[in-house]
Amino acid sequence: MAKDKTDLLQGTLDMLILKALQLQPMHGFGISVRIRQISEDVLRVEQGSLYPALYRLEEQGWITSDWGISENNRKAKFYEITKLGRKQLANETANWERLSLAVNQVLGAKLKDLG
Amino acid sequence: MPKIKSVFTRLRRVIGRRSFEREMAEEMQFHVEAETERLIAHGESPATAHRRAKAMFGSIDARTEEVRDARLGANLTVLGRDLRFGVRSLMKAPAFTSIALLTLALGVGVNTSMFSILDALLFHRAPYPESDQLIRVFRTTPTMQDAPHSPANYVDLRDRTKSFSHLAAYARTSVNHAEPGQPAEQLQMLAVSGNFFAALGVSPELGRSLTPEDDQPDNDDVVVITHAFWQQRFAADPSILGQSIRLDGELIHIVGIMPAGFEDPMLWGSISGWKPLSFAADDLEARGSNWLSMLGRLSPEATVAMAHAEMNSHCAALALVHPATNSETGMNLIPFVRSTQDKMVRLLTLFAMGLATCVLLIACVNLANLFFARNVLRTREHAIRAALGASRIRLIWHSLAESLVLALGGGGLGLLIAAWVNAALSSHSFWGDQPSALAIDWRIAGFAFAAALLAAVIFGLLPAVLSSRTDVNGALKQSGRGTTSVAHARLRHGLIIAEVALALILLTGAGFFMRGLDRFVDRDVGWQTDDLLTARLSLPETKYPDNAAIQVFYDRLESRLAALPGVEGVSLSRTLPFYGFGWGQYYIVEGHPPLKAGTEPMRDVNLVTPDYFSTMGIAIVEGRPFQPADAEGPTPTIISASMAHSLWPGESAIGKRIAHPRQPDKWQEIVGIVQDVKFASNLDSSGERFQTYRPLASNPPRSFSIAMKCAVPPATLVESVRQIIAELDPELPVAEINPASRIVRNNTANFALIGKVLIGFALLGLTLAAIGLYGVVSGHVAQRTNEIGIRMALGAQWRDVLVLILSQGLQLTLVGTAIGSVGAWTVARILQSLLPALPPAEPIIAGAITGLLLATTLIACWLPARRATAVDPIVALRDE
Repeated sequence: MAKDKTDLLQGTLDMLILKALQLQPMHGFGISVRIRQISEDVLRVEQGSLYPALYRLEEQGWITSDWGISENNRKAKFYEITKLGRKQLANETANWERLSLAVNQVLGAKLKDLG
Repeated sequence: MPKIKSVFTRLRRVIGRRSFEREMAEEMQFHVEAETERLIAHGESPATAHRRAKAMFGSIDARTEEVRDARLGANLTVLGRDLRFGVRSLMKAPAFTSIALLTLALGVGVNTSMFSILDALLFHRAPYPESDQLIRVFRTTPTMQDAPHSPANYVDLRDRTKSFSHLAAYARTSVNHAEPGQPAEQLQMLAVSGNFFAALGVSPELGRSLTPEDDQPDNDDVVVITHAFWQQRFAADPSILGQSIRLDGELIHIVGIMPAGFEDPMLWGSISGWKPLSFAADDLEARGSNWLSMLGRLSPEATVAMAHAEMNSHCAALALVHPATNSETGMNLIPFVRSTQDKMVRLLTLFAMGLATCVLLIACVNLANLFFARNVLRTREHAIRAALGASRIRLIWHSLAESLVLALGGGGLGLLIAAWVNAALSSHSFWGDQPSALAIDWRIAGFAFAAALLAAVIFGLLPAVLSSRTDVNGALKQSGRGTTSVAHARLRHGLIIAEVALALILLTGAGFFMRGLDRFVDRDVGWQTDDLLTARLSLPETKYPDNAAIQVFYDRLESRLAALPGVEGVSLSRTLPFYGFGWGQYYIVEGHPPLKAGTEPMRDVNLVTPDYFSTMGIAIVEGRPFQPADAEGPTPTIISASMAHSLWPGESAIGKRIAHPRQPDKWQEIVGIVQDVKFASNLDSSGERFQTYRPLASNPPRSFSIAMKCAVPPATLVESVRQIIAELDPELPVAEINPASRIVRNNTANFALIGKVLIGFALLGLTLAAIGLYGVVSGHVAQRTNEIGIRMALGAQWRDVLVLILSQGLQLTLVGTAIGSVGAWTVARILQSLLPALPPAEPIIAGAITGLLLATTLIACWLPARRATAVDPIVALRDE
């Protein structure tokens, strides 16, 4: 099971959760499915990290939660991104792009030199 | 809006912890079900789908635990739950819990009561308003820092001072209280100047206190009595005010009663009342006659330094006018409360405090060891919980909760123990001759409680933090009873060594003190305290106005007492050598080069009747005792053997002459040399002045001691002696009538009490150390059960196993003993410097103490070692 799993960097999970919630409110299970889908099964959220992360994000005021009815008519807890959360997501996304660009450049350069 | 909602959510979580947990479980349940449905949709069978979904999600408990961790620190309710958890897990380990509680309780309890005693002795507050403004004023001379004042100097200083709002004088005095038809009694009182009560600032309970009008010579027939005396003697009858009692044969009016506690015996000794201190005209002439104590209340704007400077300047001015009596004197100002404390009791209390700290340290070390042992045994449990998802913080937090529960329980028990110890000590300790109350100070109790909390938290957390570093996989793979690192073991061994060393120091300190005290009481003092009955009398001036009258009484008393059946010898003397001679004189030696005035040496002088030496059993080394004829003409003197040796080495001192420097023509011829005596009750001084004697008849004192050598037990003669004295003078009270040996015992009673407390401490420390050692060796055995089983299966005999286990415990003990010996030696040296008169303990005592320690530790090691030999190899090996 761990073969195709890529470990998430500290703090990246928060960003992914906020991203998943950007379009619509979702329950915890939905968030985990969504992250797997978007990442084409590369990223798999450990259940052990998901719920503490949700709690943390709620404490920070980036998401809120409320009980609602799921797509198959069951009571479920839905999470919704807040205004503060969207701002945070924008900041994190910008940071991430800068970082990944830099990392890509370094890795690309190395490959070229070796090639 | 979201903000308000978020606040509401948080509030709901803090209040509704239970519903939050339920919601959490519900949410996770939903997650698993949704996953199952997704898998079914992907074509799995419902059963497989459900199993896979659960496997993917993992344990709901572990998830819940993780969310709880995330909540930690944000949620106060966690504390309450974890405390409950702590109580539950402690109750599952009753042995650990009770030993830890006991250790904490004893450590806290003993130290609280020790600190209470220290507080009572060292930080005693006078029961007077703004008592920090009360200052004792002493006179200084080239040789003394605490000399008294003469009435003339007192009056001058009182009239000149600006920095004291009241400057009072007082002196202890004893008066004979005798009513017709009643047995006479001797009362201790303070003679005080008229402004004394104004200086202390306390109003009387009934009537009035003394005022400056009362200390005039023809107006001083009044007295103020203590609340205690009023209750005991007059059954608290308020009509006693204005009535008169007969003191020293005169009618004196009771004008006031002071409130209870005003006469604080710790500050003043025990007294029954206050009478005016009036000065006759000739008192004010004799500027060189110093006998007054001085006490002042600083005026609001003055400081001690200002008052000191002012008093010194008055002193210098007086010295210019009266150079003969006042030159080379100065003033020494000491806060009142501090001035009355016995220096030696203070030092001894500090000594006892030091030993009490040892007990606290041992208790702490024990606690640390207990927690270590518990954590080692729980490594596996912790590893399992960690594997189930409990975080490191969570495990440490649980240890902390346990520590808190223990500290609260142990601290509470400790306060109970402190209350009990204080009650027990109160009934056995005395200031003067009154029992003293030792109350628990709540500040001290709070401090001790905080100390318990701190100790439990530190020693509870330290092992938990260390063991939380344990590698989970390693701990689980290991099939033993748990793991322990080398550093961990070394730390525990270090703690045991420290414990043994501290116990040895404690035992030695207490043992040396007690043994020294025993030897002090039983030592050869150079006079016979056994078979000796002693008493003191004070002849009032009104009835015995001159030397002739006093001498007549002496002669009648001596012959009546000597005729008593069972009495072998009677002597009268100015004093008896319990504390010291209490009187010294300067002397010059005939034929020696003259010395500068004021630099002459001093000798102790006692005035004695001719039979004194035979009655007291003091050996005459050379020459003769006094004879009745010695009272006339130039009076001779008798000196001690050490004085004779030192002044006339190698030749006889008999026939040599000494004199007082101010009476250089009145030579006193040495007619006898007697053995030196030691002061039987005095632990402080080893008596550095030379002892000399002069005939009692040469200067008959009103206040004197009786000594009777008895052929029967001295206590049986007490009533006959009282009767004889009552027949000679019915108004004369007998004070301190007691066998000499009992007086010596009573005088050292407080020291004996301190000694007993110390012995109690030491045994407590020893027990704690033994428990600690037992715990460590037990843990050791438990951990090595497998190894022992294998050894035995391979043919090791029980003896080998015993040696294996014993040797480790004994190694630690021996190292601890070696380190402790150094500490013990230091403690013995400190004790010796505190109490120079205390005979040093014999080396065999040190040996016996070390033996006791080794025997105790041997038992503590042997019990678990024997258990190890009983290990059944089959069971031990199966116990995987």
